[in-house]
Amino acid sequence: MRKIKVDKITEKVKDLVFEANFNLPQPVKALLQNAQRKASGREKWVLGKILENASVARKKKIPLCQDTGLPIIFLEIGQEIELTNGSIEEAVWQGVKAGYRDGCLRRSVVLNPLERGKTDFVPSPIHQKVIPGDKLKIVLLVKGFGSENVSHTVMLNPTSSLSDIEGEVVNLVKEKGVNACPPLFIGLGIGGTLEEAVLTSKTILIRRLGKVSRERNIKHLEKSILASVNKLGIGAGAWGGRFTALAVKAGLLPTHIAGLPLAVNLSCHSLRWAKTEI
Amino acid sequence: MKKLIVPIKNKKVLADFRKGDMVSISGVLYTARDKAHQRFLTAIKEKKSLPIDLNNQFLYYTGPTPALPGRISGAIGPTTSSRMDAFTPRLLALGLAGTIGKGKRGKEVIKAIKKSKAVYLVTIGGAAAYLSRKIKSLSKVAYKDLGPEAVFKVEVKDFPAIVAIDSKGNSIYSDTLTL
Repeated sequence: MRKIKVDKITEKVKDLVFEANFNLPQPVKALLQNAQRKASGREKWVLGKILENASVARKKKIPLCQDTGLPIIFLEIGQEIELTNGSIEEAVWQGVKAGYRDGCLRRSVVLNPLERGKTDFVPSPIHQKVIPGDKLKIVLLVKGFGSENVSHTVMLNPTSSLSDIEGEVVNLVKEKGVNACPPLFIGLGIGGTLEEAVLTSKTILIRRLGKVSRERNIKHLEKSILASVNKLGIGAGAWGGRFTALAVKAGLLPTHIAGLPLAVNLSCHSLRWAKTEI
Repeated sequence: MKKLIVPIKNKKVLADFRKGDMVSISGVLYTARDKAHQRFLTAIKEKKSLPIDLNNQFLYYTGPTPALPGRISGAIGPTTSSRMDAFTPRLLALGLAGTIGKGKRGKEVIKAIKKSKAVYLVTIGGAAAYLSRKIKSLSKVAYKDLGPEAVFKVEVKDFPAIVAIDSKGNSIYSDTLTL
């Protein structure tokens, strides 16, 4: 067994908090730059400001967005690891707390969703998975609630077609995409169970951004949805234009004969994540 | 790019600002989001005075991050305006000249904007670090216990926005929120 002290997790999570809030990931920046090159008029100006935002954030250590999210932490723990010196969740939250406090980030968490009350940095959601091997992988995704509030799940009929799926996504963007800070990154979880579809709609963007799917059906669906969404005219910053979304990524999951869950995760233009391995 | 000095002298100034116009805002605004709005409305209901006089003022929907030591402002981008829809008509009736945020507004808000000849502006959602450079001073003036949701007095210079709903009630969003 490989022994790892949970303090190491705290340390790494703190670094990831900084990385995700101040540095826009390279594949995201590349897609924004590509759009800015192709855009014209006011949309080119808006995309320029979004890129300038990333550069100010990195140089001045001001977070990319005042909504510093709920940071969502994904842990993949090798089954040959023994974690010592305390609780894993506590270790993660200590790291989040230290990073958010030292980085001057926002206290956006309320402990009780009904009573609301005082705000804090933690607890943040943690998703854990045991994997083969002796490595511990940590991904930290920062998601603001402007885009979280307009994300959506629907349980479609198993006989629904690809164009039904496309229709759901396009309608959602048409109705609410303006609020989600476009140009958007759209993650889809198709199939599975309710919670699997939702989780996939988030992780697929991290796993597959900048990579084309090898499956023809998925490739076609992603391309077709992206083209339709970009015909809506919402544009970058919702100031009008042809870059309403920069990427659509779909993850397929085995599901029940009676259903076809569809989770649509709308992410703002500053899709922020960082990852590391211990 | 049209220049807008806030607070405005009177509502007539706003007639020149048409939907889709790009605007550069300078002057003093106040921030308020969900909880501050709730408290404004409670005060109005209880016939108490508001902590700020809203007449001819602009409200910016935002909850900034704390500033790093030695800096004026943290990240300060717009939050989703429609969450304030239930409160906005009452504030416009008190003379509020305009609101700044992101996204669509509901039908009742558009009606109220038209009635009081106000405007609704949107700035670039998610450009919070960039927008922080347009802030010249920032201080908490009310509801200090609310943390990022407190009311801040903000001095801005050349703060960029576009007119999303003009004083005639014309909106850049052809379909308004139906929620």
